[in-house]
Amino acid sequence: MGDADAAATGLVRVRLFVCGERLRGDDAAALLAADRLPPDVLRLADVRPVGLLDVDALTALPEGLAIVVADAALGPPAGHIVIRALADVARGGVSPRSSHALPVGQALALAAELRGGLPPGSFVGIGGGQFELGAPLSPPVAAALDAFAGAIAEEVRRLAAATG
Amino acid sequence: MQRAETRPGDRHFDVEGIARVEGEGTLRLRIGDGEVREARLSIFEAPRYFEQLVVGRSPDEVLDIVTRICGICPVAYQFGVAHAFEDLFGVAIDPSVRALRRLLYAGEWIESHALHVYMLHAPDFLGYESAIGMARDHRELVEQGLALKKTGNRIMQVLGGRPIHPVSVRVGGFSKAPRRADLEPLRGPLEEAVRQSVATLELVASLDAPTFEREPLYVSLRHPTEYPMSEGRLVSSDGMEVPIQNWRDLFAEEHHEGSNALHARTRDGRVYQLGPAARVTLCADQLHPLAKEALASSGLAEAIARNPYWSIAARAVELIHASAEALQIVEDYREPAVACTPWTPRAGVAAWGTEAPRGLCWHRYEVDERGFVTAAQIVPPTSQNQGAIERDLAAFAPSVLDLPHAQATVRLEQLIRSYDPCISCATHFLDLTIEGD
Repeated sequence: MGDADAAATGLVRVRLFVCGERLRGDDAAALLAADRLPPDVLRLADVRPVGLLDVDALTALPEGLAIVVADAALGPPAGHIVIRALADVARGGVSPRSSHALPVGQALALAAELRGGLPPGSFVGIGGGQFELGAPLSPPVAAALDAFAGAIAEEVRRLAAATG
Repeated sequence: MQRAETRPGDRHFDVEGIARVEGEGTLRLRIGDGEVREARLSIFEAPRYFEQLVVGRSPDEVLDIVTRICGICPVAYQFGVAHAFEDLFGVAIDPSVRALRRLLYAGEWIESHALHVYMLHAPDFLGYESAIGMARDHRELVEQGLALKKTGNRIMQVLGGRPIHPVSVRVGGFSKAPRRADLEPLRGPLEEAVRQSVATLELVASLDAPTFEREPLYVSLRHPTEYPMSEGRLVSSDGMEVPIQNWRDLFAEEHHEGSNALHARTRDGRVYQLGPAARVTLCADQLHPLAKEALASSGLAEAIARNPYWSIAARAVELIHASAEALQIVEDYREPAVACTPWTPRAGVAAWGTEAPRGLCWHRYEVDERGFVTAAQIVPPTSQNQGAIERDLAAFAPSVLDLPHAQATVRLEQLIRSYDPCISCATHFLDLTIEGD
């Protein structure tokens, strides 16, 4: 479904950016949670696995769509679920942590500058404990996957209702 | 450089907990009585795991595994594997496949260099903490950088199947060759990329770089007829030259205290520098005519060779080269007769090096008669550049001691970023402390 089409159906009101890498331990959490989303949420959300959130994906967002960014995060205890306003994440830090890509917060902040503001939306994260290549999910994250999927689903429903 | 005891009046520059994709590390710089007592960049890197992960794997499995070492240089890692095994197995690939490989390689350079020049390094020169602040005042620059990066991503998407970690590269060629019509949509963006790249060098040439000159030992690939990407002989600025398979004849890795990364040195113990400045300095005559002309017009060739801060200009030159060559390949493209040349494995040593955006990445695999790996050595560019970064920090640090603390910190961070190491931008976390009476 194309960008314009997605918004035009009147059903899809939210773009869900699923960040992470399946082979790197807890970094797979958002991808695995997205696999567990119920059908009603999949009708409301256009699910986009993106690895890392790219500024282009945000600047090219059609008007009228809200977004949810789901990702594993360093900082919160492993398995702990956090929901933040996009603006809070964008304010969270301007320091790039890699020469490979801009972090989520900086991608959001840069997109906000270029778009003239952020789209409606939220960040749903889960604290991760291990991110090494080939590592399994840490037990706390594995135990919290259903709850993480539930939190993502609730945000999609809430934003879909708000933008409908 | 040896560690030294802390003395009253010493200045300490510490970076703790550097995060990265390719590795993590810390920077420790100690200055006392106007002299650098210690300069140490410690890197804890993942590629060492990969040397074990690939043991027992087939060539194509190795190719898929090493692409995960790095999110922005996957093509360099993949081509290192592909060339190494093709060399060992005696595989001759179709010329059109070879052209496609250079196109994919150009995509990776465009993507990586655009990100670094505009998002990570230009803010240093223009006085911004990050690209976000720069976007407020120079929106057009950020948009130009993003547009260039997007063109690199598109090449990766078309040829590799996705923008990062391409899945189409095989030992012997590609799993599937694109039709001519598949490449046609790249033409317009590449024409624009050529224009944007030339504008990038003009922009960069207008910036002020800190004064710092030295004469490093440069090392890169050099090809007889083209700008080096994944083929050529290994050459240096002091006249060394060997086949790329023979990297170990000239260089060796060694352990350093406080880091699990191996540092590379020449066999006689010297540090050396890889990357865009090395390539531009050693291979400028092989640049695409547009890039060569733009470099000459900028008047920056000497500055690139001597001042690490001007590596931003070397990247801009390579942006022009990569965009112009990519456009040429798209225009001349003929579908190959065979997308992937079949091969027969044999036992031996497969070794090769490719020019990743930040410098030479070298591989060596010992393989059995089935072609399965029994031992591996992967030498990424960052660990080879580490010694040069430390040497430059030690040489440059005394010149910033009279600057305000924050300004001195920025200058040191900027110097590290000049090398575009995988840890470079994490030096925003630099926590400068001064100890004294």
